[in-house]
Amino acid sequence: MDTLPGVTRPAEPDGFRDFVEARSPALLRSGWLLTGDWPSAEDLVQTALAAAWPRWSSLERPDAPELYVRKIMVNTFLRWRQRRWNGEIATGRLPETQAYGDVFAQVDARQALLAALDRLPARQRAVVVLRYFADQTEAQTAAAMGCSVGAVKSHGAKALARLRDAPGLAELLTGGVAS
Amino acid sequence: MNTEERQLTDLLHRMTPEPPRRVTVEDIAFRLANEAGQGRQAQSRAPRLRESRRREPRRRRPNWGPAWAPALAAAAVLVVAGGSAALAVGLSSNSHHTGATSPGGTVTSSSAAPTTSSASSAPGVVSASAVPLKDAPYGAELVNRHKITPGTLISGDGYLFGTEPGFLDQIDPANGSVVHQVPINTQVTSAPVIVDDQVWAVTTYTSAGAVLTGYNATTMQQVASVTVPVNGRTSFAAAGVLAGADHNLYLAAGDDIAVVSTVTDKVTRQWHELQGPVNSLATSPDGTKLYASLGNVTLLTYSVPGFATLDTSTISVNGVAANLVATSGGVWGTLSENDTTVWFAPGGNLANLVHVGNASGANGYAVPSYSGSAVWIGGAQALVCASPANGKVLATASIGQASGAAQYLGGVAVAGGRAYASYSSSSAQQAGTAVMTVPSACG
Repeated sequence: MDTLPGVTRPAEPDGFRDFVEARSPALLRSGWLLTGDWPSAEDLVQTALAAAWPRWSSLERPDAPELYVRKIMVNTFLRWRQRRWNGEIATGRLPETQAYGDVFAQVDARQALLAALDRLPARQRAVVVLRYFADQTEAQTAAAMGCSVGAVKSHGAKALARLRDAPGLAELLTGGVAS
Repeated sequence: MNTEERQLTDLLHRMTPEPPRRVTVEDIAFRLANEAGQGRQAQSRAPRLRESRRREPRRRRPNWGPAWAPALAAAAVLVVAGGSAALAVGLSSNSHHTGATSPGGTVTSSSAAPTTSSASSAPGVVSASAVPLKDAPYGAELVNRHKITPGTLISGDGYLFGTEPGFLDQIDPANGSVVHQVPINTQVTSAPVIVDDQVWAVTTYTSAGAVLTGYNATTMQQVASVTVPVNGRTSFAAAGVLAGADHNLYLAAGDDIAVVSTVTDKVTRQWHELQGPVNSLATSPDGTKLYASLGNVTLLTYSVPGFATLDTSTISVNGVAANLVATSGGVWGTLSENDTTVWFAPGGNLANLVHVGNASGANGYAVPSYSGSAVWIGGAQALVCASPANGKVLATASIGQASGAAQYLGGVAVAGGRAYASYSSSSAQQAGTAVMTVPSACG
């Protein structure tokens, strides 16, 4: 792979390659839920892994590097959201009828999911991804986001309430579309 | 976890797709090496480890009194503008935003290209900072990092216009820079329409009502806003729901078709279609016909301005026809059940429907666009141009993979003798607007 002239490739820390190969799909899926598209998800994951690389050998918990990488991911995501204009304009263009069981319903359902996540404030969305997709505990989620367990519970409850009311998502929550 | 939380967990695992490619250590090493080579600090700092945590001296918060208000307002604009260009790493020279807001809410960027004199550039001259795209056809180069939604890029009045999530962009074809941005509803993906000297976009599209907003095509100042009542549910596809010609806009308004005059900025006519919802609309190049796709799927042809039904044809599919484009030879569109090909209905009758090209594939979708002298069909495998008269494929160019990542090119609009398209790849930081040479067969 090409690099800039005169620039040497940084030394690869032990275990880093195994981690990236094993966990990048899961991290990318989390990134997709956070950002809503694959290029941004990949950018987010690469940003987090690039930031983790120099510190890999001195991780506080070498047995749980994923917690550290996810922490960088979610904080990077929150920073991006702070920088970007976030016009949360309500819309009704959400799937209202679906033919379940075919691939197009699947696509529609994913769009409904992303649209519902788009309507969440960034911290609520982060809690949804860390707590309910990455299966982190409330304490781990709180540590990643730099907030209290109570705040995680609060963000989670508010997010659930918003998702519950999101058009097209209620039937999905009860198992509408086959994967 | 309670039942609802478990349902959400299940939903997230069920609905989140597998990524199209993986991140590799080489990707990260390449990124680190390039960042080091450019002498840049990483854009994103990692959280500090506990053992090295030190408390920084707290900065005194300045006293932002009323005298600071103008400066703060300008700074806020910079944040807004900079946000949209946050991914423009390496291309910042032609997408710097340093402007101010206009009364219409427009975000302006006054500096187009420090490395090139955009103001004096002839149309078709692209900034020297364009990034060549490997294995992409017709000398494709990436000229900005604005991810224009495929099928929404149009050209007119000396500019390109397209939507990206949350914004309507005005792009200078001379260098690819986004000159103005106006915020729009993030969920609407329908292309803008140029009528007279105004560019119109669907800025809100809900079953409770739709809003069309008109902007001066040069300054992007808002000049009009029209609320259109919606009868029934709006099209889920929401692609190609707005058309326009000769002082009139046509909107798919649920089960209705609405006509809006750009002279009076009022709804002048609205009628109900039993086979609704109306999914997409297009006007013929001469403005004398209006085409509408409804339900699953009926294609109607109306006369303009009388709006008498001239033709009706139906096919039975498990999908809706969207992204309608009308040419001299007929009507083009997509089917949501098979959006990797584009169909062409000669004479606007579905009985004679043919598929044109197989331009897309995994990770991409085909959308027809009529610009210049050809109909363009993009995708992740090939870029096709076809005759607007008979649907015959005039040229096909394959789109290769870049470093193992699929590339997408589509939604072509021709301006200044060059073809512009939405570009994305599954590799990081590779999405934006690409410019290509128009092949002679498509010119």
